[in-house]
Amino acid sequence: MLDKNIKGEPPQVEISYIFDLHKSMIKHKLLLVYEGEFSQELTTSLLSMTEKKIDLVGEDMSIKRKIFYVMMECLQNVCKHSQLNAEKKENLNAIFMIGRDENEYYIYTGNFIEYNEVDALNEKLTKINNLDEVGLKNLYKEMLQNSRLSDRGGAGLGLVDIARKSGSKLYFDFNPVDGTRWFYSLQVKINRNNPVKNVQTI
Amino acid sequence: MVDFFNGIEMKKEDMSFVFNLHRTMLNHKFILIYEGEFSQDITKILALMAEKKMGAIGEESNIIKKIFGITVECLQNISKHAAFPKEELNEKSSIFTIGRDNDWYYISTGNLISNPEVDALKLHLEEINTLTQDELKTKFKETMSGRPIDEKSNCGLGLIEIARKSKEKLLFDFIPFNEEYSFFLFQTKVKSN
Amino acid sequence: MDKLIIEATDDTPKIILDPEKNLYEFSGRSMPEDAAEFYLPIIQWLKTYKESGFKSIILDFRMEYFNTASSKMIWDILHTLQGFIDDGMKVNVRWFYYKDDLEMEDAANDYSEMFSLPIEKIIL
Repeated sequence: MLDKNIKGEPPQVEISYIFDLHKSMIKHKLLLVYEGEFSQELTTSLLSMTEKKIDLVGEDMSIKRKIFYVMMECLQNVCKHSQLNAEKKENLNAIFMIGRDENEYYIYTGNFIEYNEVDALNEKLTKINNLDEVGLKNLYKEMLQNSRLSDRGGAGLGLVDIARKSGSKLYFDFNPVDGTRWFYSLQVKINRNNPVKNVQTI
Repeated sequence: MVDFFNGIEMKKEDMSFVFNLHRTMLNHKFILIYEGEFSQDITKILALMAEKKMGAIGEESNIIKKIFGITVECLQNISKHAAFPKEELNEKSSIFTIGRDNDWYYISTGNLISNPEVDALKLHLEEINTLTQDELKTKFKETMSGRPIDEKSNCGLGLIEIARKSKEKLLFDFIPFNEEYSFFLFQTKVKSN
Repeated sequence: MDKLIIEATDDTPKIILDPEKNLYEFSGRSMPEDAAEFYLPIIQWLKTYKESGFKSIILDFRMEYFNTASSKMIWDILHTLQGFIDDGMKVNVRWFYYKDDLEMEDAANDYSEMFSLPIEKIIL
């Protein structure tokens, strides 16, 4: 597939790989993919790029607001974990993707976490997934009252809110990487077809 | 084609493809991957992110400057020249990656361009690849003092500058996409000290 | 004559063109999306400066980085100044850069080879 007329050493990072990667992403209907380090500035740029993309298809305002909200929470979670790892000089790369088909938007994040965080996070996510709308609302209020500011990410307040705003179950996965780190993947779906549902305030 | 998701459908509740993708990227030594639409905003943030990352791994400042400069030229080439078909929104995406393997940094881009532009771009790249560093310098100066700049182009200065910074041959390929567009793949590399 | 001050952003340099203080300086990073849009008003200002009867200028470049589109516009600026010299104006360009900054040193050399106007390289 490569132009054989080009002289020089074959690269270790094959150029055709880039095309395969691109095709994979198109095939899976991803609008935006970022893998690398995360920062507050990057979060802002990814948000405004997504906004541009969503505006192009004239998405309903309430859907747009939900996507934004969920993206913001997800990206901030990833940012916090990246910054925490920074002190240890480890590979900080995390991943963020947003995809769309006829019915839904899919937001994905993946980042490293410490092995001793896995159980608590697993428990939190499972608990959230077992609650209905009213249950989530109560949990949210309860957490607002009891959480300490020192807890990273507001003690999972963000996750509860993501579940409430998206109106869907949270899909998640943990994979061991090495002795101390696991890879935590999260998927949030947002339905495009019922814009008025689940717009709620406390 | 290598399917980076290992054939796993993303709609399934099985989430392992996120990890698979991440692991594949790490295995191929990617430092940074962005796929989507490009803008000046994204250009700035990706260039700054690359700079920050190289700084963090203790890379020498002149190498960092080279990577930064090449990144800006590559991304601005995409945001100015990439073709955006109207039919299928997802197909508008372009890709940008920085990888590191042993002593080399690899900067790669992929984007659609309209078919009538392929020949001129190919000639331009082929010409650059035949030139020595001194000839590239002369070509750069000639181009710079040539016709006035218009808002959409920099008269091909970007690719000449990339070749000057990299000091290596540019790697490229054009893959036919449909009657109107081709996918333009481009890669340059920089030796780390 | 009115001064022209443009504050730096994360993709455009700081511009000071101030006849009152006799300070003319470009500093920082330049990688705007549309370099012509940014630099054309600056070239226009310089032309007005000359037309207003000023007989000399010392222009300082303290750039850290510029993209190729900006390098073309800097060429245009130097080209304009070269024209001023030919019309009898006294023009000095001072190019400040850090000792280990090969890119900015190379750029100064490129421009020096292209113009007869004096470009003084000053290592910081």
